[in-house]
Amino acid sequence: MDSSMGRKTFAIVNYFLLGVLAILCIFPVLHELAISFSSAAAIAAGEVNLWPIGFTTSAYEFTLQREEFLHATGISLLRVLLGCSLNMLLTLLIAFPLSKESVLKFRTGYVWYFVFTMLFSGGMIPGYLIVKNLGLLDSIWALVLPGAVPIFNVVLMLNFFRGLPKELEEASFMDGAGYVTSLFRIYAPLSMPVLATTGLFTIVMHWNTWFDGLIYMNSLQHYPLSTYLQTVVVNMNLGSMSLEQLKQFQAVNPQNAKAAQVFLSIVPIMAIYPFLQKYLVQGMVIGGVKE
Amino acid sequence: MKRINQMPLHLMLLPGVILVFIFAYIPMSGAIIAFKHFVPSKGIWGSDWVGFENFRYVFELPGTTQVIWNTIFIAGMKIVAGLVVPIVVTLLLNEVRKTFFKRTVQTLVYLPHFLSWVILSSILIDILSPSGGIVNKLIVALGGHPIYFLGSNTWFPFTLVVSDVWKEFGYGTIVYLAAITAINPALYEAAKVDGASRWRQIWHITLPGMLPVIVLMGVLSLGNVLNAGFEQVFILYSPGVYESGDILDTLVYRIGFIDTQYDVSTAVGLFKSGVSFVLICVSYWLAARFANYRIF
Amino acid sequence: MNQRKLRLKVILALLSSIAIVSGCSNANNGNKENTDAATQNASPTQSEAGSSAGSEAVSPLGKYETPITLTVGRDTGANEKYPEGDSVENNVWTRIYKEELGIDVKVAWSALTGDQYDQKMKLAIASGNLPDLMAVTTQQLAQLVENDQIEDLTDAINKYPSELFKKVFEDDGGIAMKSATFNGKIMALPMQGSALDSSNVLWLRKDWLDKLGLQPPKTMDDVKKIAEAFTKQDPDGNGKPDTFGLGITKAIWGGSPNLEGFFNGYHAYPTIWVKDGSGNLAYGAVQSQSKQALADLQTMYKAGLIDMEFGVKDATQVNQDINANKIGMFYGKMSSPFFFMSTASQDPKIEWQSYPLPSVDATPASTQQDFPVQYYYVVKKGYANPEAVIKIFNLQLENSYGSNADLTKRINDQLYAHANDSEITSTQVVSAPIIKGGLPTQNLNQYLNINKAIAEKDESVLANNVEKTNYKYVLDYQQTKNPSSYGTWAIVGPTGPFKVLNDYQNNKQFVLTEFIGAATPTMVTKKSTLDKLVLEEFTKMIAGNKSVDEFDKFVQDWNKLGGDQITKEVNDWNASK
Repeated sequence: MDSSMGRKTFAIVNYFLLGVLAILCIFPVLHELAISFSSAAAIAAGEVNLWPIGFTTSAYEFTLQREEFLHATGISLLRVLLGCSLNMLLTLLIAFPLSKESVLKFRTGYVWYFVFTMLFSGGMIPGYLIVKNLGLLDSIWALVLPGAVPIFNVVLMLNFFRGLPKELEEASFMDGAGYVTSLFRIYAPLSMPVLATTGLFTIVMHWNTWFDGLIYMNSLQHYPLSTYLQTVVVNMNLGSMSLEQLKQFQAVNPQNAKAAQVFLSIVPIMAIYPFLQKYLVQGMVIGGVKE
Repeated sequence: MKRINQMPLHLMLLPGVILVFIFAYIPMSGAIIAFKHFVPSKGIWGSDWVGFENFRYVFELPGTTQVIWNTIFIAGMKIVAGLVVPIVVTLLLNEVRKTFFKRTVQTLVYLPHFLSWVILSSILIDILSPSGGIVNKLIVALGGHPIYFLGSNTWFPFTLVVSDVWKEFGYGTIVYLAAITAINPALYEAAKVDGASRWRQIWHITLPGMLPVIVLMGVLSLGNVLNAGFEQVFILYSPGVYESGDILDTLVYRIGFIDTQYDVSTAVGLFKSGVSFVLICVSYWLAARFANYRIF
Repeated sequence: MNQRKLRLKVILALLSSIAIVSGCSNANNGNKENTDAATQNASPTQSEAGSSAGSEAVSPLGKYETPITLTVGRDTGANEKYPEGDSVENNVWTRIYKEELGIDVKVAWSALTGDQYDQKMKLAIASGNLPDLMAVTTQQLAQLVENDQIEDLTDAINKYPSELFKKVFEDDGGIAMKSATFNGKIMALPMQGSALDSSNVLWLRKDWLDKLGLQPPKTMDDVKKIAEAFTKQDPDGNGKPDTFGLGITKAIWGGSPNLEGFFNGYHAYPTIWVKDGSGNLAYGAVQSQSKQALADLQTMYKAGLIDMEFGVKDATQVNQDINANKIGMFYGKMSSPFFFMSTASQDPKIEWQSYPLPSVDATPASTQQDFPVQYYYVVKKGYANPEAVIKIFNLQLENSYGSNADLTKRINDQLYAHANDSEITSTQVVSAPIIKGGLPTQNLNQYLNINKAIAEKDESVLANNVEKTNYKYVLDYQQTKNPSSYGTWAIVGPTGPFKVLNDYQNNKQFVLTEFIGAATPTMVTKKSTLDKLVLEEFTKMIAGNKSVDEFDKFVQDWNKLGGDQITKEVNDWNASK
């Protein structure tokens, strides 16, 4: 029998440890938030810690006023919409058959067909060439199609599907249903945690990936947000700026613009996450059939 | 049990198979560039065949042995820590009763993933500073000597691993928490009835329930055995710690700086993939042979 | 490497920084060049399209009767803003090229100046997808020449240059064009920069010097004394021992702060190729003069005059320390004010002053300078009208410096149409032109003219819009200490670094790299290893982890690892010049 003293101590220690961990994780984010609201001079001198110094909203104004920023956000949203829908659909369609061990012919062959591509790649040039030859350069499809099959998510989901009791499906087969019904009416609804997990991962992937935007898009106007942020933030090349631009640079030091950008790109994800959390922890409520 | 028509299953797989063929296998044939002396005007197919010359070139560079060792060491530590830490945190989180606290912590630990290494480097330099950083202040307060985390060859790999795990462990916890929810609650009830302590419940129910996912994540992470994390290392390393911090990717990057040698970088990529592939195959085979378990 | 490009671009930026100008007229008294472009443009010559070597009058600014197309892969600035309806593909300059020259410029792709542009450019080459015109690096140029992928521009350059064009490429002694010449053929149009602008200067907190009663440094001994005073005597007056004497970064070379200037004081030129005693070329880092420099740095480090964490801090962090009043002395460039202007502009008590490089002995120190050209414009092989590129450059130069009032007015009317919006004007004047480059003494002249105008209260010496505008900013800061004018004043103002650069120029106190070719075969395979060795060993010696007596062994290692092979190749190249 657990001593309630022991349990209490454990609980306290647990909360403390996790609390410290959470603080360690949020500290840099708060630091960046403070920087995004601080003045260039204060940032340049390294004075900012967790609280803004020389409070100013100029970094956010600068960012949000740029038409390119808003435009790039639009492109990213479109990419996430198209890309994630495609990803989730394909993940389901692939994980389901692959989870039918001892039923599906060539199952192992299929699995390795997919997993192999997680390890081996031809590199940037062949990838670019295929996109170019298909005429997809500069279009949203160049960002959506190459990564349309997220193998890692597929493997996660197939693993989960394997764990579901076979009786569920067999029951429906008795009623004359086929595999398609089984997938969409039985397996998918029961898979909320894994759907939420893979959904989150694919959303984050499409929202954050920036390198493909750089090589497949031919102008800054077509960049998704993540690629755009790389241009404004990481590579602010002082040398190419005129004295006027440099003066603006004085007012909006890259570090506060950088921080503002980071924030603006985290916000959507953090908005979605709590929403998905509900599904992440949804237990398995199997109508009627419990092991 | 009547075998129902499999065709729908194969049809379901078809779109994926086609897409992967187009966007993964066709470009993969371009990996042949690793065995050629790439001249852009001749294209990949027209360039001259040089066999393993590119591989030999990289391996014969002075210091490559040290670099490969660094890569394996750092990547290895990251794989292990990257497995253990999320699992432990997940188990701890699972014990938390207050949903609000649980959800909040879950959200917060995912945040570092979104900060780039460029941003984190200035923070790290600050807090790890031997002459005033918080961490060293703590160490000194506990009676120790300041440690030059980013500047000493002894500590640099450790610093890399800890900061990387800190940044990414939130990702793993999501997966493991989802896995825990799939465990049948009836098992816990039965165990309680039998008088099992919470600890025994974890050991006999939770962990085994997570095992398939843990094994999966572990094996897949073997795919990163030679991927010590280019962006992080590149930003954090410095000449003083080249000895312990230079990895395969930073070496290749510096070579390519003068001349864009796609053939060499693809060769190194192939080498990395090859090693990962072998490790994963072996793990798969071992599990299949000895535990009759298909990892995927 | 990027730091060097950075400096170059600063030069170019200063070169054509915007002028929010009231009038559009150009007082060109300072510019004696007269082109006959005025007559040329009044009546556009016919049959330019498909012009070949022949008897027709070739004109530097002649318009193509039938418009020709030119596809371009180009870079864009970080903060561009176009007026409504305009874009990088369709803007004031693309229209000007069409109207004035009959060239229809189509942008195939664009990417941010710097790493991103380089990435796309290399991708274009590797995938065999060259646009008609593109800027490439030295190394890419050599490859493209070798693989016969670009047009020979010799004819075009010989037949179509304007007077300004010639001046731009003669003022540097012809080295830019030389570097683009392979087997007697000019294969690219260099993006002309300025070697002078890359000179090293010593930056000091004058207010700290005054406070501690010190004199500006003339010798390396002075430098050491000042470093010690700055470290030990609490110059920022905050009661904490948190200041350092000399700022250096983990990268050691390049950018601001750098150490090249320090080494130059010992007559060592660590990152370039120089003539050794016997007339051969040798690499600066392994010259014996470097040894003494390292020894003194080690002494300074041991004494705490250099931040013990310099080995992990990059330029951003060190500049942060500079802005936080922790560092009072560093070696930098004429563009260094950009890195401390956010704090210095806000606090007039902070006084940064630049000085010529002190020397270790009686011989004055010479600064090393970077090769002025980092990018070359190349034309895809088979393009029918390579001279179009020359004409475009002629036109741009004409507008920047020319005396053709008609033409300039026509263009400026469009360029400054949104004069009240500095971002738009800046984009149109600075970023939008597709070929960049200008006179090497551009910025030096600006400094001389502005300060002459101030001293003699005579604005007529100001040669063009840029000088006029910046003159106003300099006056503004002098009179009102307006923070947004600080940057201009700090660089081209009377107390700015160009005073030092002017002296360097007049006294010939500079050393340019002798090797201006593309990387030799062994450089391609071994240079990164050698550079790593230099960085590692120098860092260890400075930090006292290795004795400076090991320098000779370091040189031996350097040679063994490929250094002597490279030296041989460089000398072969030199002999065949």
